[in-house]
Amino acid sequence: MRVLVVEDEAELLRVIARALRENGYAVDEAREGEDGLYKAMTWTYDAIVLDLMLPGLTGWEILKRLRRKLQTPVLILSARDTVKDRVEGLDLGADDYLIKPFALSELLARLQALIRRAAGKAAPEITIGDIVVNLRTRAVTQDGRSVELTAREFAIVELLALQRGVLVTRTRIYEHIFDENDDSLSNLVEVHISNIRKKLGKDFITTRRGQGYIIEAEPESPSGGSR
Amino acid sequence: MIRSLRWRLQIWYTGLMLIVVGGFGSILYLQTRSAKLQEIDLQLEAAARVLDAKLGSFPHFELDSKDALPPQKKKGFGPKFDKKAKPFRFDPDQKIPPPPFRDRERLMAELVLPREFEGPPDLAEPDRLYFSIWRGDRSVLKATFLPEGVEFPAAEDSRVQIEQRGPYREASMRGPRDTRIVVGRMVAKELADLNAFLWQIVGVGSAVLFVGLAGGWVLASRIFRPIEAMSAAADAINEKNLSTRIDTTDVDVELADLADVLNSMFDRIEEAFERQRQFTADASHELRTPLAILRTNADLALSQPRSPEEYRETIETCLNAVNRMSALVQGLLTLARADAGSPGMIMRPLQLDAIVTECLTILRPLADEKQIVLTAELASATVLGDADSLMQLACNLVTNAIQHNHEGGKVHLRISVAEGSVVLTVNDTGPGIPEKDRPHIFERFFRVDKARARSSGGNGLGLAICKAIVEAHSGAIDFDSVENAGTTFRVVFRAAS
Repeated sequence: MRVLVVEDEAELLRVIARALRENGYAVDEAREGEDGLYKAMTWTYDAIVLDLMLPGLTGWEILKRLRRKLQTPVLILSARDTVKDRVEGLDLGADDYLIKPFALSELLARLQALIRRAAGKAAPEITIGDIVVNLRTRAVTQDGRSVELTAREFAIVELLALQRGVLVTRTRIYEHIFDENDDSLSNLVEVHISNIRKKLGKDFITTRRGQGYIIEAEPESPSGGSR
Repeated sequence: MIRSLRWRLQIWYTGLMLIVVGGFGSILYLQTRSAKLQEIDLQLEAAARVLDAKLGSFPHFELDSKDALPPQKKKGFGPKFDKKAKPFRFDPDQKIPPPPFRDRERLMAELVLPREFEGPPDLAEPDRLYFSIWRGDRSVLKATFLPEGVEFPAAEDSRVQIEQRGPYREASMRGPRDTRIVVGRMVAKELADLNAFLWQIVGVGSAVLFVGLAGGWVLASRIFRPIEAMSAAADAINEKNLSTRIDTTDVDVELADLADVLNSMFDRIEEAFERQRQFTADASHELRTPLAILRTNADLALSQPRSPEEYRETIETCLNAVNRMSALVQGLLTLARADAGSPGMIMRPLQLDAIVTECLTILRPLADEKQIVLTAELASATVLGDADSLMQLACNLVTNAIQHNHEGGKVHLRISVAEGSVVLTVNDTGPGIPEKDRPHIFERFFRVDKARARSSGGNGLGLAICKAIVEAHSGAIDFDSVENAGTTFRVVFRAAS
């Protein structure tokens, strides 16, 4: 999952970004309004964490301009706690509102929920055949046995599971698991996919040559699962 | 005392209308009544005079007593000259018919009023007159159509006296030879007419009064409507909705002034509320941000085992956040105390130059770090003030001058004494204050360069605190700024003698 954090307070930005990275997110950072808006419009993010009081463009302004084009889930993270502020933020198209100071676990849970809802999956667990992907605990089990995945492998499984039945391009996966500071080669995606197949079975992810990857949609009869 | 202006106006209207309508009605009624009665009285008096005149031609004996005989015709020229003559004596045997009887009949027949006035008292023909004449011995000489209850009048002279007796009006007078004349007529119809007229006046008067009062009420309502509208508008203004204003487009000139005064007061209240709201929002933001840093760092550090270096880093970050909060709380407390009238300040004579020198010693390392040259030209000056506050003032100004400066720039301090005032100026060679920000520079939480100020640790309270301190010392603070050439802050105190 790739998120953008727009926050003018350097130390807060640093700690939020770090916490998100430790939880498997690829994180882009922006300290000013203009920079934030530019990044939000340029890259595909799974969610944006947005402060309201920013130098240059304010959070409200960013939200307004962003919503003209994109539906990226936005979580407002603000010290402004009045009902009026919250209502205004939500009215402008924010999906959630969290008031500073906040518990880190709450931020992570809300962000997670936001991303799930945007993918049309309300429950934190996604079951694909005998494989269960728990987005909350970031754990994958097969036949009840837990399978160890690296953070990036999990990020790819998470993305494909959330987009189950939809073809996901390699670029999209690449953009998803690496933030702006990474300059890894894009064939690393293939390496990760290959590793996932070793752990979860060959048929778990289907390759559409030249197009991308897909976890096939659930077959009509519930008895058969994709292996 | 009625507190409603409208009701008081209404009562005044009512009183005035009552006086005017009542007075007019009364005068009209009394005038009409007296004119009517006067007309009747004149008729009665004229009739009495006619009768009086007719009685004048009666022989005296006819008038003196019922049984009186006319005096015997004398021979010669009266008793003086006819002493032998026998005194007159009525002698029925003489068979001389008393000539007066024929005279009497004639006289009686003539003793009438004009025909058209004679008749029995009658409601249908009210101007019919009756009369009665008494001889001197109280016997009735003649009476026509007399109603019940007419008595011998007590008239003492020949002046006509008018008397109202039930439905009758009578004129009485004393005629010749102690006779009494009473002429009367029925006035019931006239009195009934007058009564009806009185009720008409009362009716019309009441109608006029009612219309007047209703008009007054409507008028008062029209006058008070804009006031009520103003009152409603003022009432609608509260903490949640301060933007309502009184509509002055249709208000009369007299009230428009009041409305304008109220509107401008509402403007000031709204501004004050807006400032307060902004201040609270800013203070909340400024306090929550370091709290968020503290909490998030602690949460993150505790979420999994860390290396000692990572813990150390986290604790350092937290310490920074705590320092920032401390400074902010200190600043807010200083401002709160200043708002409350600076109760903690101890005013005594101080050497301002000594305070500034100490401040420069403290801040020199900061200046050196940014390679800024600190210079000072300090005249000896005594001011009445609080040492800690003045120290904070000088440090805030110098810190500002150092931080809003170019690398390798200069900060110059000067204290001068002139005409009972002490002037402290702090001059920097920084980028200056943009024109649009100048009016806000002393506002709480205002920052010229929001992003840069954050990173340099400014919380936007420094100059607001300076202003509060200067005002607590009855001084003045202002500044000159030239863009890209620097800013000079000038503080003026009264010199202590």
